[in-house]
Amino acid sequence: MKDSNDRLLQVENLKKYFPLRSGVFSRTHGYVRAVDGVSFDIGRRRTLGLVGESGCGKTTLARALVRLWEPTSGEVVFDGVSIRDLNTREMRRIRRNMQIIFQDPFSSLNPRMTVGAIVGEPLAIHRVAKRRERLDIVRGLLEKVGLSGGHVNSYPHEFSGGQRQRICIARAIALRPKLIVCDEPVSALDVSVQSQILNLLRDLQDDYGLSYLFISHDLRVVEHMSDEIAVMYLGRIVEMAGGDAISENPLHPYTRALFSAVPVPDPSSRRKVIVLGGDVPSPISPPPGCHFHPRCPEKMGVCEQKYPPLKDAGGGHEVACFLY
Amino acid sequence: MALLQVNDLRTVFHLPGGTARAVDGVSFTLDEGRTLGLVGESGCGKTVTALSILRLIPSPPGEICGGMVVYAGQDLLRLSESRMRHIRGNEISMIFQEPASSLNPVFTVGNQIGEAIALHQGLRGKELRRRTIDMLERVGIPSPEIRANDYPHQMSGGMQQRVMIAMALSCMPKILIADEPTTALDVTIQAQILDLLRVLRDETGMSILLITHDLGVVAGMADDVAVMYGGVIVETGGAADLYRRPFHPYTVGLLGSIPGIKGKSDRLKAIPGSVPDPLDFPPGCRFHPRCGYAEAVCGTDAPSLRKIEPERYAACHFAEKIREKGKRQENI
Repeated sequence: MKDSNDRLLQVENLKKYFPLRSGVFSRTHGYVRAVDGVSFDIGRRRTLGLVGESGCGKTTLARALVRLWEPTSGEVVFDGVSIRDLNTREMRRIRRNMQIIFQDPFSSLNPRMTVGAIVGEPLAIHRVAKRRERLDIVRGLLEKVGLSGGHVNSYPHEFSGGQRQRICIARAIALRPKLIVCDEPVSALDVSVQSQILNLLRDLQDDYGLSYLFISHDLRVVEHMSDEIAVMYLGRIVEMAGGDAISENPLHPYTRALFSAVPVPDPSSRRKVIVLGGDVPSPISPPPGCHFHPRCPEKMGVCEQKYPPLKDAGGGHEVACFLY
Repeated sequence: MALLQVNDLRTVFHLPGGTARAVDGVSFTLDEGRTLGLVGESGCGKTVTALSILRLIPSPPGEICGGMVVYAGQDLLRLSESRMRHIRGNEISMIFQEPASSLNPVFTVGNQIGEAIALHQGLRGKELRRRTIDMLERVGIPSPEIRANDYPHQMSGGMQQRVMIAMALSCMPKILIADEPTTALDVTIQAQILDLLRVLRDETGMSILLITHDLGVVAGMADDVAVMYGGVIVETGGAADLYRRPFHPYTVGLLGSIPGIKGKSDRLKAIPGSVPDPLDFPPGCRFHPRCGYAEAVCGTDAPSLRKIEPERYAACHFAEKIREKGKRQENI
């Protein structure tokens, strides 16, 4: 296995439950198990892609990871430091090195702040540079992400979606972080603009030695960006392996269906699409046993009773399925 | 045989900031029993084209200011409103991107499907109920007798889209206009809906105008493709041929910017810049500020859609050049 020094982020059995309350005394009568025991690690300069359908817990995982939402339990070790019990001030120091980019570049920029103030804010909060130097740094950052340094006095509404996402990226790299959590960074963008942003993220990774946790529902995008891919279903990782291994040889029946369902931009393709029946079940009352069994074409008796653990099926290809 | 012919359609929106020429001279033909994919990015005028065909453009601020939409020998743009009502939902139906906001939240889904059947086919009572349940069953909703009494919020997004399809097909239309029918859905649910549309198309022989931004979805469904950019159609052709040999630089760029399904590959061939604003289209060819082939002529003369080969049309001054370049690359 890899030396722990190579690993920038280690996540161990992370859980995030949201209590369901009702009645006069707001009694808790259940939990939404949004993230239900997830473990993985990300190497330095590596990209872990996280795919899954809506409601599978991708975004909750991203937020619990950087403690925007307090995890229910589990361990997150970032750069050798366990961040679970850090106080606010210590956590702030860690956050210099872990930034997050959100899906919607329209709601994640303050409309009343200029671009210069937005991108310079992290520098101000962390007291990285004096006011005057800050402006120069901000100009440099804007140019780095493909905007012009002259944009510092503009407001977000003057920019298109793709340009706004560039502003978000400039803000995220302002403190030279080691890890950026990208939560659906291109989902709100047009195809022709999406590819510009993906290229930019790649270039920044090479230039700054960044690690990414790249979250998306779009398999094509995740495959393009990732060294390793983890597939989530209903709060748990069902398969995790190198990007090539998972796309060429998906093991879990859900992964197989997911990959086969991605429309191929080639009309002559005669690929067989595995059409799954049913919908994604609710994380409030997940089916017993393997969460996927009601939709699974390969269901066996044991699947209804026990949840299959994630285990190595050879060559570091991990899968949570009783077939292996 | 041409079932629907759109000729030089023009739709504008009079806005405080000026006049947006959302659809600016669009022509295409939808043949009987075929599926035409209308592809383009947000703001290119795909949806406005579809709404103009059915005359569903809110006026004001919108106005259909020119062109013809010929269906069954008559120009839909000149029909009386009562004749048009007979066409909508009966001869030509439409399904929308957001099933949740297209369904009425205060009526049961059975009620909403029945409305169209009662209106156009005059069925009542038990007969109506039977037909409604029959439709729900055809679109693959389990236990349709029970689900017919559900309200839209009791159903998932995929189920709601099935209800929309049931409603659209309840009067056996000749043409189905599907505007981004799977964009709001997850991949596995999208596969279900596309599969359903294919089955129903083969059963009924209807024509489909499929509007989407996803070149993958079009590839799996359409016989013919029309690519839109900035309110005009820039390229048309048979799906397989157009994907293999695109002639317009925008189509080339669009196909190049899709990440391949093969691992962490090279850089994507991104198109620089962003989609133009319909309030302020660039002069000449609307794509020229983003185009790698652009020359001086592109900034002044807007190219019209012209025949490059049999069944292949493109609106570009340099379409032949791009075709030759593609040929050379294929040989390598």
